[in-house]
Amino acid sequence: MRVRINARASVRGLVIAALPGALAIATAGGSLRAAPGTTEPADEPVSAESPVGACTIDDDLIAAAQAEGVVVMYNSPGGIDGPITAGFSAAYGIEVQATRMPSPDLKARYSAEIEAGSPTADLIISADDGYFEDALANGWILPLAEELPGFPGDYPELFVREAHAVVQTTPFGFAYNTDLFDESDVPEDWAGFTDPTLAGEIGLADPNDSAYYTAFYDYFAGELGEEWLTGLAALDLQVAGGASQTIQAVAAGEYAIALPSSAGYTDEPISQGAPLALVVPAVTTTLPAAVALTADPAHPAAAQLLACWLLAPEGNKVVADARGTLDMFQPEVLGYQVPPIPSPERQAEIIGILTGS
Amino acid sequence: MYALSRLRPRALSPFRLLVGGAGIALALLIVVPLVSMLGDLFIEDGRPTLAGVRSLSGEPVGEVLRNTVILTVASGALALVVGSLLAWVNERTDARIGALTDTLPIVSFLIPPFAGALGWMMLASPGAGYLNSYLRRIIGSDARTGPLNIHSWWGLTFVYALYMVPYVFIMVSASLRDLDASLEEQSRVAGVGKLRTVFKVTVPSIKPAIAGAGYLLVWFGFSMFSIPAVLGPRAGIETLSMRIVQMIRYQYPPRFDAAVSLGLVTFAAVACAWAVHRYTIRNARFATVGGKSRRAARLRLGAWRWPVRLMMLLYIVVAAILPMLALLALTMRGYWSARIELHQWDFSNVTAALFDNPVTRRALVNSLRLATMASIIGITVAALIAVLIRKARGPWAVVVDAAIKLPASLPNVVLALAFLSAFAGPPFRLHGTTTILLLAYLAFYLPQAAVAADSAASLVGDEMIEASSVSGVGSGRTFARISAPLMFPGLLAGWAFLFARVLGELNAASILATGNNVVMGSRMLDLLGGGPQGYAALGALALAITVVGLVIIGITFTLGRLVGRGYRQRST
Repeated sequence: MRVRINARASVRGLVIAALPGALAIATAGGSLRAAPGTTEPADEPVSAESPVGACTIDDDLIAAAQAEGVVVMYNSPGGIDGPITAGFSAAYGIEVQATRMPSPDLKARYSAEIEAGSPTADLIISADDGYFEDALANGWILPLAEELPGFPGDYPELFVREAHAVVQTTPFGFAYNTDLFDESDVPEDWAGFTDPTLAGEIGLADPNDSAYYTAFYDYFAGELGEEWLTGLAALDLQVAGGASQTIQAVAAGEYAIALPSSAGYTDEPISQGAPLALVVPAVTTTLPAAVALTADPAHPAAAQLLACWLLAPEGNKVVADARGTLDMFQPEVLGYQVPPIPSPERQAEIIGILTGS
Repeated sequence: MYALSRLRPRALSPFRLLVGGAGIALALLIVVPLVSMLGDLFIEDGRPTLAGVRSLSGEPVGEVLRNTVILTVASGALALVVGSLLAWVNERTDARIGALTDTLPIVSFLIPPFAGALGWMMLASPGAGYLNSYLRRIIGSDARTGPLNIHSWWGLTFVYALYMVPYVFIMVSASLRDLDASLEEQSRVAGVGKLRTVFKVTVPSIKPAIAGAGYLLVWFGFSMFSIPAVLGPRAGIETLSMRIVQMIRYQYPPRFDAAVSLGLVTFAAVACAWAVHRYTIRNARFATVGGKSRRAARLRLGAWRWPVRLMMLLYIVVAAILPMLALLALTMRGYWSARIELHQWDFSNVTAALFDNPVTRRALVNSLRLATMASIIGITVAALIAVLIRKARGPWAVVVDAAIKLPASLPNVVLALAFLSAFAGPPFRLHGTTTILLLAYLAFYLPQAAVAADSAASLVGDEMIEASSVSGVGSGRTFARISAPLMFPGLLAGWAFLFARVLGELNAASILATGNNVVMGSRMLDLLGGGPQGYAALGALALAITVVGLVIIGITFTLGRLVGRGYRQRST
């Protein structure tokens, strides 16, 4: 289902009913264009004049957080823990103990720890909307309006939910090994991923790891035809592991292309000299990651402060600049397509087509 | 042997009571979790139920069981051949190079299998493996992959076998050393060729050792988690242990009943192997150590001597040196690269991987602390039990001894599940604490501590204990002044092995470690799934565990020899 977003209207019920998923955006040279099919811009773009953010940060909150001295975070999106740790520590002198793990692992560990009565993470950042709803229903996380002073403030409503709010959204692209492929050898867009010359060259990030992977494949199967999906599957795809493992394998030369990938996974190895390049096609989907606060955390003030910082222009920009992601305060982000997460049956079908299982 | 039984039984001293209590506590530590686990699975609301077992429906039980059996049988057969050959060459030919070849095959025993598997992944991944890159260059191939593929049945069988060989080598070597050589000599004198003598006389004579090794290999194959966790996914091979950990650690919500049910399948397989082992010992005919046994004359290999020696050295190169060098190349480079470029190596990549991340730092500290505590407590209690309980009479001593050794027959993943069942929730609520890990480590490694303590205790003559007892010295002072000093070198070695094992332990960590009680094993699993610096950080941790373990063992081995030499000099 494609949904045209009206920034003025409350989208909460609509988004939840439509099983919010990946945001389809169009990029060109770093600026944003509306995705094909979207004919109307948002009625009232968010004011870009001095946005405050999602909540009020006052001196009492800062002092209480600094007294706690540390905040523990679990996150599934790659590449954001470093900028968050560095940026938040620089801003407030509070240590962030971040553990990055694939989304299925994060859900299992976070749930098990809370159910055992020993939660570790004070807050989590995950790209799984369905899990946040389960967590709220179980009382593991609390409505943000109860936890964050002044929430939702002037944070774009598109990215606000009851118990979580999107802090980062990363466009999907693909990475290739520059020792094995020239720029001219790689496709310019997703339609090019049926070229038989790519057979055996593609390392596939495990599609079981995130519903947004299947949303990506489902979206383009809808745009380009089901034969695009079967044509891609015919390229002898090799499941290389999670997104991080796939990038490392491509950097080493196990495969020539990592599909899909994002700046969060490529920036660090590239900075170390790995022969990698990231291509983000003009039309693509994105992976939104949202923050939620644990009910009864060990460091409540530090968790609130970190969440407020992430949901304010300062923190949001630190993450966006460091990882090539989209700043939530840019008005252009409102002109988006919102394809839903496919049904479990369709997800299983897509995974079966891609992996041959 | 002095007739202890002829003495009047002494009144129980407080020290004996304390040690007895510790022994019973440890026995309960092992038995209670197992009972709790079975109770959780088969009893619901006070009534028996099979609902827990039925939760396995829909799971690929047949497939994971088949995969585990294939890997265990194939790698076990390979390890039996290689390990027995190495043992025979070392004990029966002049290829032996003294203590070097006595201990070389055991060095791989000290390498954490996780480190070995990761190292071989770096060496033989089809595209970017170091060995593959060089082999393709040597043979002038334009292919992008091969010729080796570690992510295959062959690759997994190979790595499994590498780390199974020490078990075979130790068992078969000991049996050959104790075997009456006259049987083999009689065979040769009768005109039977050397090779036929080996197959017709030597091998049948050491059948108990081979059967024992076979049982250990089944236990190893069904328990092993780290090797298939590293190499299995890209090969599309999933084992029982992987599925159990997947159900607990990587599924939401965790499927405890299904995991325990699979754990019982694992236990049943190991129990069958044990039954076969016992049957073999009872019913087979084999040689025993005769009263007039003597050491065999070593077979002279002539021109084959050095090629055979090189074959022995090749094993340690393949099992230990190559994978460790691969990990070194990975961590010094900072990321996985098919090319080894020494000018790009930077030690700061290693220190950054180990010390920059606060979670990794916490894992290091927790692991060092737990390894120290578990090894000291474990070897101390094992020593006390070896001296005081085993020599005691009565059924309770037998029960305590059996309970302490029970974990050796259980797959570690099953034990970890038992601890999760018994201690994670109410009334103990130890989930996510270092205490639950400490208790698990004590249970896992008590058998190993007991073996080391028994071996050390065998050096303490009964006459000294008798003399002390007759002189009116209490058992506590006797232990402190006589037994402990004499046992010290052996206990020190036992402590070092325990320390090294606990430091890199993965099975308990995969089930019991959370973000609160992160240890090296669980941190490595996190990094395997994708974390900062990825494989390079993983390699740094694996290398650190291996190096620290080897250094500790090397220091204590040297110290033990110096202390032992000092005792001998003082006594002459």
